[in-house]
Amino acid sequence: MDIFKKIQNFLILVLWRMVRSYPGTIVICGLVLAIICTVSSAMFLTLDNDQDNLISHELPFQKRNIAQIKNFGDQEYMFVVIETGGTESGKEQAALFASSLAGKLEGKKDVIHEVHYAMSAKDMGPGVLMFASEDELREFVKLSQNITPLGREWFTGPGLAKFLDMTADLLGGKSDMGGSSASEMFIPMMSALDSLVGSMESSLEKGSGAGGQILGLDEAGKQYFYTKNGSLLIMRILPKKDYAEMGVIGQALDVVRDALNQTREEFPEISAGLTGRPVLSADEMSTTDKDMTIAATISILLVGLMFMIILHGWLRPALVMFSLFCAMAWTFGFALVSLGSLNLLSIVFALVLVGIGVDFGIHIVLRYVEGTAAGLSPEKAVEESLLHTGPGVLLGGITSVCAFYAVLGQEFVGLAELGLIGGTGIIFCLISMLTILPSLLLLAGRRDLFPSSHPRMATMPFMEKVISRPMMVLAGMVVLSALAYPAFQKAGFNYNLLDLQAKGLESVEYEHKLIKESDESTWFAVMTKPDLNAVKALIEELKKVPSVGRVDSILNYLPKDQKEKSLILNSEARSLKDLNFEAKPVPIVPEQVLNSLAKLAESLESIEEKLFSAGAKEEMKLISALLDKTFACSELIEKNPSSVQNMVGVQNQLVSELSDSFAWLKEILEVQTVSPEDLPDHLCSLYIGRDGSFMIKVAPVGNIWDFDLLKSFVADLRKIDPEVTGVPVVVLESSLLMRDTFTESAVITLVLVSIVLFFTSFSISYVLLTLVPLIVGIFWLLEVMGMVGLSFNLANFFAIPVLIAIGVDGGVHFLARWKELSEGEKLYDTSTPVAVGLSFCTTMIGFGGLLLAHHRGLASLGGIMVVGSATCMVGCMVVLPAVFRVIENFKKGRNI
Amino acid sequence: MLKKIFTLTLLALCFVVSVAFAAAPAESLDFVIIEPGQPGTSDDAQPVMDSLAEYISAKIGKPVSGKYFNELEPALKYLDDNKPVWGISGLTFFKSYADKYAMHPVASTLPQGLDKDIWRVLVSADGPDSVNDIKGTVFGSMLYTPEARKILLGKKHVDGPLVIEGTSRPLRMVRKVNRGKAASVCLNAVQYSVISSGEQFSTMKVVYESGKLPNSPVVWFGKINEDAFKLQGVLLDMKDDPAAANLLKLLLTLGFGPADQELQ
Repeated sequence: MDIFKKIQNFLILVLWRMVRSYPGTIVICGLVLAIICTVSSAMFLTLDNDQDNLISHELPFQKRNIAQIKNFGDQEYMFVVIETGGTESGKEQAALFASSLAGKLEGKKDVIHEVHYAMSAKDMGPGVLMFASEDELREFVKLSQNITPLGREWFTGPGLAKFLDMTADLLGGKSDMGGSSASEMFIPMMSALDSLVGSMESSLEKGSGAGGQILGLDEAGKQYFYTKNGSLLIMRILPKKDYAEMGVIGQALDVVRDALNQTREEFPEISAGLTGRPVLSADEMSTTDKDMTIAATISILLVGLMFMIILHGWLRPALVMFSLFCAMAWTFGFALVSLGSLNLLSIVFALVLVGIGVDFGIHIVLRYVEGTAAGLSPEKAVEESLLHTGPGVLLGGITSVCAFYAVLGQEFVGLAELGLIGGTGIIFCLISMLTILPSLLLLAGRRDLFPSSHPRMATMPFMEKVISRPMMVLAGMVVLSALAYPAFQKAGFNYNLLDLQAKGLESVEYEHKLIKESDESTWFAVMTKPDLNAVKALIEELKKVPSVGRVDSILNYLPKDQKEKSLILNSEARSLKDLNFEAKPVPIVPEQVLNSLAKLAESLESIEEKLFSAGAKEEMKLISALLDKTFACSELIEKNPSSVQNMVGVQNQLVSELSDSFAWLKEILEVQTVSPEDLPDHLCSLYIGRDGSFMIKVAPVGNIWDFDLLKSFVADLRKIDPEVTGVPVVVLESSLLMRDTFTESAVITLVLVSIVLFFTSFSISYVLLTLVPLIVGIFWLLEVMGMVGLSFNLANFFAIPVLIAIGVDGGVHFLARWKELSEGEKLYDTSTPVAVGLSFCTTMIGFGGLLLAHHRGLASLGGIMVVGSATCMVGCMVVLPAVFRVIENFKKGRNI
Repeated sequence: MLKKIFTLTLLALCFVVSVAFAAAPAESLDFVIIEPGQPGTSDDAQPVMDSLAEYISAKIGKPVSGKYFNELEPALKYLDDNKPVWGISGLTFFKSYADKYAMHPVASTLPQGLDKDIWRVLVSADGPDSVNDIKGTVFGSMLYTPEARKILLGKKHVDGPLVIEGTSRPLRMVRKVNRGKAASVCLNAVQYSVISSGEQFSTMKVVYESGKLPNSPVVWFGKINEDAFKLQGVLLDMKDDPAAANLLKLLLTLGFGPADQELQ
């Protein structure tokens, strides 16, 4: 007997002696340790939800990504996509929708850092006019020349009455402001006037002063972030992130969705939705969480039911589950001590332990049942179970551990941590199932707690008939496999992460809408350059690349031909020099205000008549409302002339707003040059790093979620700048790293398992026989995948190491039992096939619940695990025994 | 001697050329828009006239300038003193002065896309049920010219007791009728579309509707020539020209259609 086997048997014997002597102590020790682990994990084990931490920070692309985030800050936005229908009225409604939503988010600074959906002239800083063409500037100067005399008149004695008089003259055409007559100015001008007269009415009525801005001149020239074709309005929202929370942006997402729903109620005709990378991730997390809960509930119920039927009663399944609970609790404790936190991948280790760990218990319990059925005492039955099944369980466990430990040390840290915790968890399951479970069986058996009747399904004698003609069975399998071979070649890998998401999810639908209907992209690559000249040169180069769409940089905010433009503007600035922006408001006189209101009413009526003849109903409503307010003010003053003093606050606010606006006009006319330092802080922080370097954001043309397009886009950018980073680069590199890690770990697992099997037997034929179910099962799995159009993806590739573990485990147990058989004894008369079948069934049921998942990635994981477990089970329960039978017949023929 | 002859010949040539140019200035396509009763002033409308002139000039390649009149007397004086080539005329003005000024319809306006107009007489809800029972004046922005009565009531009823009067403030008159301070108001199809959708005027009723009437025609003064057809083509194409979209809005029409058969 080889040394490995000796050690194995010695270990099992030692365990048995301990179990026999101290079953109670073992159970208590295990339970106490489990409680300590559970409590300490609940208190101290944290969740690290940062996707960036799933990949080693030492990898060059990840190093660049982290450095970029540190330098420029987090720029992963949520996107509210508002549909305009492409019409002017739709755009106006969308703008109102955005303003209303932004208003609701304003007070939520604790979870929402920034909201961007429009830019006013003031937001652009003092160099705003520099963005206009020289012709437009000349027009503006002309307008300014018309405004200057009005300003001069205004500052000689600013006050409400004068403002109303001047407005009435403008509206009545008695004075000219140039552009003010343009039809696009009608609504803003009337809205500002409505706000003023409304404030006046309110002051006269209630005595209250001005509340906030009256004319809203700060908002003048506001440009909303419509897409190029005008069909969508995009709002960018920067949420607060909490990596200790499952959805990372959960709080912010709730706040935004609440506000969005309220806004939808206000604007029922507007369609809008939320998307963006953090939203998709959070939705993915939430969908998978819900799906996992449903899947877990279904699988626990079904597995429990199956256990109760096959293991007869509730006690035996309960003992298995208790042992599993201890192992899981220890694993949590190990995770706390070794890593201190769980990541997005390692958090699923519990599912893995349920799928694999419980199988060890099934073998022990069924062998115990077989022993008691044969009339053995509880003590003898436990001994038989432990000494005969223990080595197989140990070997199967070690092969599973190999599958998980194969990823240790990989750059894909998330998976490496799952490998460490999952592999160690399997070791704990082994320990628990080989110590606590036998102790519990012994204690329960001694106290005669099990039902007196025996389980009905301990053996499967009917299967003997199936394999009675082994060559026929094998030939049939070969023919079927050959027929299905074309499907084998179709099984492929789908990298599109959007295809993993649940169908009908709002964030997914709007992501598609954004891709189809706009030049916007929620993903952008990032390049950095030390100075503006380098930025210019890079942008010129990028413009030549066909896969490059939009390019954003600080240059978008730095106007061209600044010198020529400043000359045009500065000449006009001089005419504003002698204006007295500090002029104090004049006292309010009731008669003056009444006269001014009458004048204004007359001008408004004249406009109303024009609108009436033109059939302009909507505009007429505005004027009618304004007229009503004007008449109301007049009536209030006529009733109580002294009430005009209530309007002092309104007048002060009006004067202050106009003074500020004229001062700003002077400032923007006087501007000489615009450099990055002159831009508002929020713009600078977007494009200028802490180290002074400049960021260039590069969006792709087309659907970036398409992996081929992503690859060619990143390849194109790398030709220009090998140091390029950003979401497309990280996603591409991570996907390739994941695929390579999984493939590498699958190969390492196979090699390690083969080595372990070899050292157990020192026989190549033993190794090959053990691997038969796995090889056959995986081959058929690929054929079925090709037939039903199922692909490997980044969510289901994880199934392969698990399938390797359970496929080999089945082979180990069948082979061990086959070798144990005495003359005339048949494999299917033993409990091993039922135990192996039950193991596969629990895996199928455990993962089968995922087939109902909305998250398509999870559903595909469920599909692969169910099909893979089924094909491995057929490989194990039909093909392997047929091979055994062929070998037996061969040996008999040769009288070996 | 030869030099002298050469110089004189050159001078004579220059003279002939300059006289020839002076005698044949580029023919302009000046127009006038006459819509008595429309609100506003000629000065208000001048920027719109300039835009229309610029557009037509660019399309036809001849100098164009335009004038607007919403009062009858100045319009008549202008036509007496000037010779515009074409124009847009209110229906009542056309009916009254088509012969006098040799106006020939070449196209028609389409206010709010409507190819026909209807005039409606409205009274307050508790007022008379028939137009003949109206006690007082019927005000309307179109009721300025002598022909207005005939257009509104038709030739048969033209001699009835109804009193009509033009107003440039029809909305004010609607309000007055609504408050019982005026007897009646006459509205065209565009004006009525505003009233009929507003709740504030639900206390009024229609007591008379004219038949379908032509919209304001585009007219050519004098004999129709090649330029008239060119102009007609440009006007008919305007509704499909994105560059004309804003101009059409200012002109309060969705475009121009063929001349109304009724006016031919």
